[in-house]
Amino acid sequence: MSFDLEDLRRTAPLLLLSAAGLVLLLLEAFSRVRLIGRHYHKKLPPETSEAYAVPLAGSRTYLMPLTVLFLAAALGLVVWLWPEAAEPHYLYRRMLVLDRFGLLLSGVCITAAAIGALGAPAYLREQRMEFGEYYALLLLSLAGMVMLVSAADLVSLLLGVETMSLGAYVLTGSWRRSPRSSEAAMKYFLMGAFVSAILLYGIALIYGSTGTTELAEVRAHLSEMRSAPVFYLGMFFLLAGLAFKIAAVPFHMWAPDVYEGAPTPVTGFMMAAVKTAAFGGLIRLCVGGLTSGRVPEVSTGPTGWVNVLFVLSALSMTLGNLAALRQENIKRLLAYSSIAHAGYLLVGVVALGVVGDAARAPLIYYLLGYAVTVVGAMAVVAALAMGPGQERLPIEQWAGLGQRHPAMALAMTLFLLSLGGFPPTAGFFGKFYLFRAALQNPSLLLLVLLAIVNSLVSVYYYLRIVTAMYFRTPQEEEVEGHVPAAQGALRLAVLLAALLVLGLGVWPGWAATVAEAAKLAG
Amino acid sequence: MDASFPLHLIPLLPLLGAIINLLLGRRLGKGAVALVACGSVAAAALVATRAVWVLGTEGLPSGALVDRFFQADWIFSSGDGLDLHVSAGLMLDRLSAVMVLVVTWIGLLIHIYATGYMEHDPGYHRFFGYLNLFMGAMLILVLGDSLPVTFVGWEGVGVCSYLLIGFWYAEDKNATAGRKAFIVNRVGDFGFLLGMCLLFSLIGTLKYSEIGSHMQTLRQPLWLGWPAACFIALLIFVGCTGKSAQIPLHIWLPDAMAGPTPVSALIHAATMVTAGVYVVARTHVLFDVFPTSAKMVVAGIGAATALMAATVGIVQRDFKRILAYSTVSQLGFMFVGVGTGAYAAGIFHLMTHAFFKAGLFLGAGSVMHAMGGEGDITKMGGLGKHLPVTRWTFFIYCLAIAGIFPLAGFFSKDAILAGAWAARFQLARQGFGPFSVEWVQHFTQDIYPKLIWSLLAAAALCTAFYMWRLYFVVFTGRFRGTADQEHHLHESPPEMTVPLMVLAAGSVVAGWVGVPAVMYHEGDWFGAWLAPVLPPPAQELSHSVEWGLMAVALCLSVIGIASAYLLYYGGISEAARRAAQILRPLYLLLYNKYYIDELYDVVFVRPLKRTAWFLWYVVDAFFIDKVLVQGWAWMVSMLGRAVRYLQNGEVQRYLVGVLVGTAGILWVTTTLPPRRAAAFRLSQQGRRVTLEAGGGSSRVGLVYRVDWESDGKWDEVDTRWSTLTHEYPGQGTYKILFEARDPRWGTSSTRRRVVHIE
Amino acid sequence: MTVDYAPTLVALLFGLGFSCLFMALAVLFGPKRGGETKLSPFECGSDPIGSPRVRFSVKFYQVAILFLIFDIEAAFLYPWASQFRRLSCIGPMAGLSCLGTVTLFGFVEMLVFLGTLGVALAYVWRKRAIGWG
Repeated sequence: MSFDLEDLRRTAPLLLLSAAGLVLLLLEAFSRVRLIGRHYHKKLPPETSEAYAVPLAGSRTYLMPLTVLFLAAALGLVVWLWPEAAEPHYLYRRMLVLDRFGLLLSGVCITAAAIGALGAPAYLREQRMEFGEYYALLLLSLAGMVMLVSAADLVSLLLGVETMSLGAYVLTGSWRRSPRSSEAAMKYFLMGAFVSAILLYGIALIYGSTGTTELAEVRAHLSEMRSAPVFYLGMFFLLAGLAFKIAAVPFHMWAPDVYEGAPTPVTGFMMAAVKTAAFGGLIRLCVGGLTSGRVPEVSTGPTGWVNVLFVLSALSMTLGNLAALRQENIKRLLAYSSIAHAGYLLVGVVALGVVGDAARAPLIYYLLGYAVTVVGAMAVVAALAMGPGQERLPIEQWAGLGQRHPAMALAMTLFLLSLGGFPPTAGFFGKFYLFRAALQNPSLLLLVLLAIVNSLVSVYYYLRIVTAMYFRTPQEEEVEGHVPAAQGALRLAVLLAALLVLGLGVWPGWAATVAEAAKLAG
Repeated sequence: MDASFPLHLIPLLPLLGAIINLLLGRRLGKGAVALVACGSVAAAALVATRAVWVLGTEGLPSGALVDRFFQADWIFSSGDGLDLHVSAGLMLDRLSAVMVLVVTWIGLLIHIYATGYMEHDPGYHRFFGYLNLFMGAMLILVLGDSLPVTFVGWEGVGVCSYLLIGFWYAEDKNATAGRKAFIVNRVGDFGFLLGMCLLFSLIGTLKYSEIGSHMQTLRQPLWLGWPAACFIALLIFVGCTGKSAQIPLHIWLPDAMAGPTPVSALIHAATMVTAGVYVVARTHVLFDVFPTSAKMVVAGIGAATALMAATVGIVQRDFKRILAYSTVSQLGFMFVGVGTGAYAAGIFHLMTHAFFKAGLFLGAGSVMHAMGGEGDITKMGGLGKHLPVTRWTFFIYCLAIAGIFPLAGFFSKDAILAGAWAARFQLARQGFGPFSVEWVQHFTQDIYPKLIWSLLAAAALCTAFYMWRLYFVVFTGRFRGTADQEHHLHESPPEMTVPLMVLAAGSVVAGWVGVPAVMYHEGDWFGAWLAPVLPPPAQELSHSVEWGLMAVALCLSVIGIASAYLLYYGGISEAARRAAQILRPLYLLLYNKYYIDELYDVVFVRPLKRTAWFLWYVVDAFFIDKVLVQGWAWMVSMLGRAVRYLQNGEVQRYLVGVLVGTAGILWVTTTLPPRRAAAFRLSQQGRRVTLEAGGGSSRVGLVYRVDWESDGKWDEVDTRWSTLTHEYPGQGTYKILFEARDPRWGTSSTRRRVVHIE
Repeated sequence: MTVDYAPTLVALLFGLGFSCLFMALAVLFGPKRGGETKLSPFECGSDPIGSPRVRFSVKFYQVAILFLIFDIEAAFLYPWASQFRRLSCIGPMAGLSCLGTVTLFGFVEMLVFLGTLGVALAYVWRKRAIGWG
């Protein structure tokens, strides 16, 4: 028994990320934390300044550049594999598949992670959470995502989801001084474990009714499934499991608490990369495994996945937006906005089932645009803390930032406009392409109308932040003498995200062409 | 043949300069800011010159240099035939070559001048940042290879113009002037945009080089039997009237003089305001379509504007305001040039005007610099001895604009006048109402061109008069200002006087590239250069007529200068005052600019304000705020309360949510489809009844049974057909029982309905 | 179809049946002689001191979890060992002997697995999670 050595080459990004994760873990463990000094705040009285003094870890500052280097290398490998992925290659006895769809989504996740990683050190230092495993976990979680988006089998799908989630659980709880962070990690882990069980049960049921776990085989055996209720129950469980990961209503309840409690760069990473990867898995499952021209009722039938996702989509965008309207905490607001965006994205998956492949490129474009937007927005939140240990969360604290931090406020405005779907940003063209693709089938008219009404409603709370930044006078000063961490690499991260959001909005053609080329295997 | 050249460098260099100056200017210090600003423009000028050199030596006469800076489509969409492909690129042909040289080199001179003029301004780096930004936008405008790219530059220069007019924004008047310019230009841009959309919807492209090949489509009648090209041309011209300050959108330009003087020279005299003329020449194929009503409008508006502005200029007292009206008037001349088909003449005048008008403004700046910012010419006088360089260069500019042989203005104005005299418009093949075909033809071909010529001739007379009135009042006679001002009078520093001298030299020689053929056979080198891209005038004039026209124009100029000499040499004479007294109503009419601002205030501004008030108080404050916003807020807070009950932070409750959600979706998706399918439709045809299950596409895979008579016996059992028919044996009232069932889940739904059979 | 699951059902029934049966037998036939002494706590003959809910050091859990993780990973060695020959052979097999080419595939796979495990062990060791001090 063996496998082709070519398979190793074709999974180079995955292998690189896993190996890099292990290397970073060891480096972190074996490098000595040397305190090269204490950082005092000049204007604070001596007795309080000790509390704010930060140990500056001297010898581990190379972790972030090294991580970014690894991520850049992984991105390079993705680009390198792109030409040969024009035709799908099945790998490791058809457990994984190399196709452009998987590669592109891997690239999106890696880019989001890289932007997030760039901003992390400044934030970690400022919030007094030196957590060296951060980067190793990021890479390992990313390896899970790459596996998830290139899964060709339910088993590798589950493996990917689990690897991705384990990293995310620990990252969520990595801010050990913050009770909120620990609570969030606990909740996320408990619910995640529960949902993993559901997912696994779903896989077992699918196996029970079709006799295989390979997606292409499942699809081929749809017409001769043994027991329809068993199959459909399995399908529901799988959908529920993935809907949990993308935070779709009613599986969303963890999201606000977890997104709020997690360290901000981790929140950005989860909103962008975890969501993208989970959508990748969902699309693989639905299109690759559960859509067959011979048995249309599995997808478009009364209990088909299209109907299920239709309901989830409508619920997610409506409830997500309604809840976001009243939020005063910016991370919580963006968490609900993320739920709403899961709803918009589900419109795309529904369209994939109804109008077919035409909806694929718009969906990928939307994922790309959303990923860079939220990761940028979270980088801005990370950059503008009020002081050590105090993030700038309540919206009233964002008042007057237009004057105090004009560049950051401008970038945030750009991201919020993109989330709200204004031209010329990535968000506008994402919505434009997606809704137009969905409208090719009139039966989705209602859903698209609901999505449009919802995105109009969402403008209200995005612009609320913008108006606060530009048209309100600041209420509260930052901790005196504190300079927000908006510097160096964190600035670069925000700039990068902003350029991507703007670039995608001004020249959407290029990305749309790439997305068009990202064909799905099978 | 098209050749490739890195044209993007030309706009990019000033844009880079703008970025550096705006971001880092405060830290750089004045010397470095000036160096960056002038250096980037100088580099752009050199690259542009090289590009024109390449074009002149290597390309074919009708060819162009191209530089596609976006290879992919600008806006892209896939799929369903609604695709929008707009590719954007830069192009340099013989027409844009003229523009790009004028813009870069005159721009450079004005930049150098501004380093001296703005010396003591605290906003030094901001000023040069905007100025460079303007240069970049203007160069994109003239180099764009399609209407959208030009439009990007067009809006860019508009923004810079707005920023620079209101440069000293602390003063309310300046900010208002900036806003006025911006709003008036929006009106024009709306027309431009509409024209672009109409053009695109008809031929699917906006590239200049491709419009010509779609003339077949554009000649089709669109409305009232007039060709589409005519409407597009007029819409684009609306945009041009805004940007180039023609009637009825000319009102912003005189107010725009609130900006620093180099801005007035660069943007509001030499370059930006001529963009309209350039665009008309650029899209001339649209204007050339029969019937040439669009051209008639262009020429008519141009001539009317030329005369209107020239008459207003006669009585104004503010130095820059006189020059502003002069600019409006000269732009009118250019529009007559392009409107009568003498495209080369219009562009020629654009070029020569750039020299002497930029010079006039810079001279004004020099004078006002010496006067400590005073702009009222009645408070000046006798400045000639204090500012010799300014005086003599100003003298040359005045000669040039008055059209005295052999200075630049003479040749270009002569070309336009000759073009107007020779023009033959074609309106229609049939008569209008009481006017016969012959009469219409007579009017458009003989009367109308001569009318335009006479208007222009009158305007030329006025031009000579008001320019020399200005010259005599300012530079001759006694000083009329305060003693303090007189004490401070001084000639400007060399960075200001050198550009003045260069521009003066240009004002003398610039016309020699376009000597009319009657004077020197190979003289019209400029027309020959443009001939491959702009068609020459259709009609030739006989030599005697051309000489005659030239003599008339020259005489008018001399008369204008002579009367100005009589009335204003050595100061404002008694005769001039008496004349103003006698003709007081006329004087007031002209002094108040024909009351056009007041008219607009009554017709547009006040009704708009009233509508705005209504919208604010009634629609916004009451309906939207009270009813819509607060009503929604109430609903949302109710919903929020319900959501909060679930979202309380307890993980157990979340898990219950997951379970309930799963069960709920399971329940909905298993029971809803049969229920929807059971809601059947009936259609009746005699005794034949057809039943169709409801639910649309969601009923795939369901099975049905039906009992047509409700006799407890199923007539059809577990059929997959969603359309069932039944023929009743006889008349009566029957009750139909219909059941839809999902065989996978066993969920079912039943409906009954009564049917009457006659 | 559903019949395929019949053995599972039978096994379930047997399990339930037997446990119920034996409990019932014990209740029915077991002698029941209770008394105060018999029901009292008998260990060392004295009442318990303090609450039984003592807070243990978190290190107990840590070590326990680490043991569990490495133990489960080690359990993976058993199926691998039983399939080792199969994994090392490309081609048909006759009993335990390989008729085709013998490869290092199975061996290398386990090396990779153990290597990963080694990294984890090194990390745990380095973080002093195993030590008690």
